Amino acid sequence: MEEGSHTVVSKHSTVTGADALREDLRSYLVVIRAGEPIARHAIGAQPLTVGRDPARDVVISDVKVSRLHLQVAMLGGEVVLEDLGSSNGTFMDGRRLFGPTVLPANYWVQLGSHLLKHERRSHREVERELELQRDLEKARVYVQSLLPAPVTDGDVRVDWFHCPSAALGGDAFSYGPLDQDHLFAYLVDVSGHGVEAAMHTVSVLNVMRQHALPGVDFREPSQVLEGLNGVFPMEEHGGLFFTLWYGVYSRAQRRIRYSCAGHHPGFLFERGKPARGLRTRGPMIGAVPGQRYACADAPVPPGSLLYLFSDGAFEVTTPDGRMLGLDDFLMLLGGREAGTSGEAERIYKAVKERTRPGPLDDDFSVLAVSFD
Amino acid sequence: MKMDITEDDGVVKVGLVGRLDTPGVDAVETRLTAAVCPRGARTIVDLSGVEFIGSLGLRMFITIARTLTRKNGKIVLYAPQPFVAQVFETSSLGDIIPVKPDVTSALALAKA
Repeated sequence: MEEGSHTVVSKHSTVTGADALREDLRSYLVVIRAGEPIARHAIGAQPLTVGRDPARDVVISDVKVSRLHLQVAMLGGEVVLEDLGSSNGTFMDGRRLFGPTVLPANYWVQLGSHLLKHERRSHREVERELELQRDLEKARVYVQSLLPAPVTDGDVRVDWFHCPSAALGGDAFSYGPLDQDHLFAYLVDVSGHGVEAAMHTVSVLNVMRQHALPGVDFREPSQVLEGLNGVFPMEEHGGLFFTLWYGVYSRAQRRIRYSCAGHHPGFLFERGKPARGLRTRGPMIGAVPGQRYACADAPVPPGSLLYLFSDGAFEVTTPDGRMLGLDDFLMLLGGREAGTSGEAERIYKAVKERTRPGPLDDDFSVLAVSFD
Repeated sequence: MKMDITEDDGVVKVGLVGRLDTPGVDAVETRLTAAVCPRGARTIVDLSGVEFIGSLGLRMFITIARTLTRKNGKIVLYAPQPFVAQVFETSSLGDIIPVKPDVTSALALAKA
């Protein structure tokens, strides 16, 4: 690139002496959202177009990214990008860019809420990273397979939606019959998210699936929580603890017994009445050895709806930086489409509409249980 | 997340400002742990500047509290904002770590 023939805002050496010795290094454009790389594109002789339009080589779904925002090309051994007159600009080190600009290795530019970073990697490094991502995807599919299918018919129906904030999450839930009369449902939220939390979640799910709590009657919520507390002390599980809402519904009595460990209430909606929070007080599972957990119960009139959800569903941030809360979230429940198939996903979409772009800050889980 | 640590009359006073989310905890946990745990310090933590706390923030405080207890130390949290106070109530954190409304009551408990 000849200096003086056009504006070059910055020019740095993109290839160090050590790099020059590694002929297998290639330049990649990495798309980063909320601190996580979400796509990688090799930069070659052919320019890459970047924008919101699905026809672009690099598609970025961001309202602040123009349909054709910029292009990136390899010129004379350097990566050069050029903003193509975008509405909201492209920024490097806080400066808006105009005209062709060299993007050195390990530097990035910002457009909307996304970053584009220039990385120089060997093909082998890229393949290893892709392999790791494939393994994470397999793990995600495995965790997802442990969640029960929605129940779309019968006197008690369950709809749910689950979205981890990272590749793997710390939320999980389950429900099903204990016997002809009793049904259980629970939602567990392990501290943190990611691989560590997901592994702990899988342990909890498997203990619960196999009823591997000696001497515990799974129809008694207090016993279940105390049994889990004995099996999962945080010192023996990497300092991890989890919150839990566990309930058992009796068809014959039309009542639900429930117990909570550090969890916000489940909410029972009866037609024409305000929502009722179902919660007992007690610390997270694993935090206090020998903790005794209280149990409570509530009637479940015909036509009632029970919602269980993780705190990731309501501890979210709006585009202007305001934190939403539980009261905001409750307004999305029990509406005209309450109890219908797909309701949980609609709730998720309603939450997403109210939050800043990008993934939610925490794992999102909602169960909607309908009682005839 | 910002943190300042001072000491007065044998009590370590920690001031936190910002969000105790995942990056916030990452920013302060190691330094805070190193400042109080090895010597089993009597510690008070000013939460008036903390606008959010997630599960990792709770985990950080619980882990520090258990270590301090083993070393005859103590940690007292004080002046949580309403959102943080609600998280403490939901999680029953007060059953594990004392939470006081102000610095005077926190100091009194830390020195007891």
